[in-house]
Amino acid sequence: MSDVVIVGAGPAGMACALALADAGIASTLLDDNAEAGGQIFRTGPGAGRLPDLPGTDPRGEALRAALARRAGLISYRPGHQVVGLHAGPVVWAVDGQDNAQRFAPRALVLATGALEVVVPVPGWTLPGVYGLGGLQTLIKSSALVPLGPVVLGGAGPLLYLVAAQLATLGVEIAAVVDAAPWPNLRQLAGMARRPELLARGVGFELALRRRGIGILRGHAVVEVVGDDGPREVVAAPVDDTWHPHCDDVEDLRRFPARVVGLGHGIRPNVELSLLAGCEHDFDIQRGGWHVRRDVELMTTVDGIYAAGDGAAVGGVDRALAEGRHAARAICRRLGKPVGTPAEDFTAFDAFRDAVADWSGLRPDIFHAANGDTTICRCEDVTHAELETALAHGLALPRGLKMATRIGMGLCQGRTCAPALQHLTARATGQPLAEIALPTVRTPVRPVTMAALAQLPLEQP
Amino acid sequence: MGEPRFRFVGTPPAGVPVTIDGAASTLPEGEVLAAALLASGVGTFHRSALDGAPRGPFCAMGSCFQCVAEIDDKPHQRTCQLRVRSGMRIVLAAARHP
Repeated sequence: MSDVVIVGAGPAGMACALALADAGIASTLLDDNAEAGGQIFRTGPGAGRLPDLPGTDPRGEALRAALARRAGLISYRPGHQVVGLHAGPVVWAVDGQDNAQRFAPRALVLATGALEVVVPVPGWTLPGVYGLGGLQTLIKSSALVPLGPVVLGGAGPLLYLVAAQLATLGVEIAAVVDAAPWPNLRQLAGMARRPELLARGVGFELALRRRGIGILRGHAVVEVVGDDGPREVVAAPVDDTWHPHCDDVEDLRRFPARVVGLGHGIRPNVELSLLAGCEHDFDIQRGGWHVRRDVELMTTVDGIYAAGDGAAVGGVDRALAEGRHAARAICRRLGKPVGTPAEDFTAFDAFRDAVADWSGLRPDIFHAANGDTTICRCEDVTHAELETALAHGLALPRGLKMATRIGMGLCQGRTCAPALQHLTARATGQPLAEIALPTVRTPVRPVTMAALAQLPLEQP
Repeated sequence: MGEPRFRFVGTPPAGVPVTIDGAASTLPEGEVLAAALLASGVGTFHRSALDGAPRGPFCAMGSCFQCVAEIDDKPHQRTCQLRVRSGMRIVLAAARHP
């Protein structure tokens, strides 16, 4: 059995496994997806049919090829979900055929990536409304493109990347609705610390303008209208805190839409670090709640490391560097010579902070939900039901769940957590950083009894 | 099934026989099941547990479970993480919430 288990074969996980292999250390790389790459380097059965798209990063192919060359030292296991994790560290994983496996490595690296933050609005549960990342995944993995008109809404770099890619594929875009204004000079100066990324962003903007695609800044999508799918999208102006103003009908803009993409940036997927009992901190620049790490990227639980956007939002280049950095720390832990050079994170952070300052979530955007708006998609919990429970003094982590079942469905709260935290903060007047995260328990993914029965009895 | 909201770029792999809610159909072999269903005009993959509202793929990366369907008698399977195989039996939950 490998000395090291890595969860997640995205940029951080692949870079970590490859750097460990360079030092002669064997690892097991567990990944939920069928292909390595995570989301940014996502590929799939249809990828070869795509034309060259703006923003395509060729490093994913190189990393996948390196992973295959290193098969002797890297046991790469696609289609595996981690369902349990406890001190030791001990990892429980289940594959698509319900085979369960238990790992007890000397070091565990959580490289689970980020989740997209989508702000609930009336109609966001209609089939045909996607996360921006979801729309992009369908393109990258399956060469599947929406039939227009498409409306894209939210904020941040992904909004423009997806718009530019769809436009290149000839998809009719009715509107790009951005809650943020044009970045200010200070933000642009911070983004210029990564000139190639700033230039790429400007290129997306120019490509959209050249095609005459309307970009509506300082506006938010406040409703998706339709019966069994989108027909129309309503956008309203937002103020400096992104509070949408829907009262004056004159201000509302309506766009035809067959497919809608919504996204307000990304946040670390902290469910496994929570399950492991690691300490977490709140910092809006890093995507909200994120796992606490030392300079070696080890969490507060001995032997558990975290790297990439799943630990703290930092972008693909930082994720690659963190994967290598964690590998070096693990080399030292296992008494192996450390080969790869040290990393410098400063330019990544300056860029990340400027992007967060420009497009990071402002709490008042959550006023877009009305009482009937579904917050928890798995358990059909509406905003009004959540507010009633909060008015009765119920709170996270337990009370709200017991009263409403919010966050207790198939997705275990991964989709609604940001809305739940913001709406709780608003109702209780507490700062966001004081809103406890929901408790995470084994199993974190739906799993059959047949799979669980293969695992030894042990106290989590 | 209704009007598709998506199309494949280029020519997808050749179709293989599957059943959708018991009816014979074909889907491109090896393609991501969710993508293949979307291209064939399926919009509602399941209906929400309480109010029966239509739901379909949302995150497309295995996190949100909005694209789940019953596959080969196993409930709650994420169609975005599965690939089309010959003989696949696909039951969209619409059939269970008449």
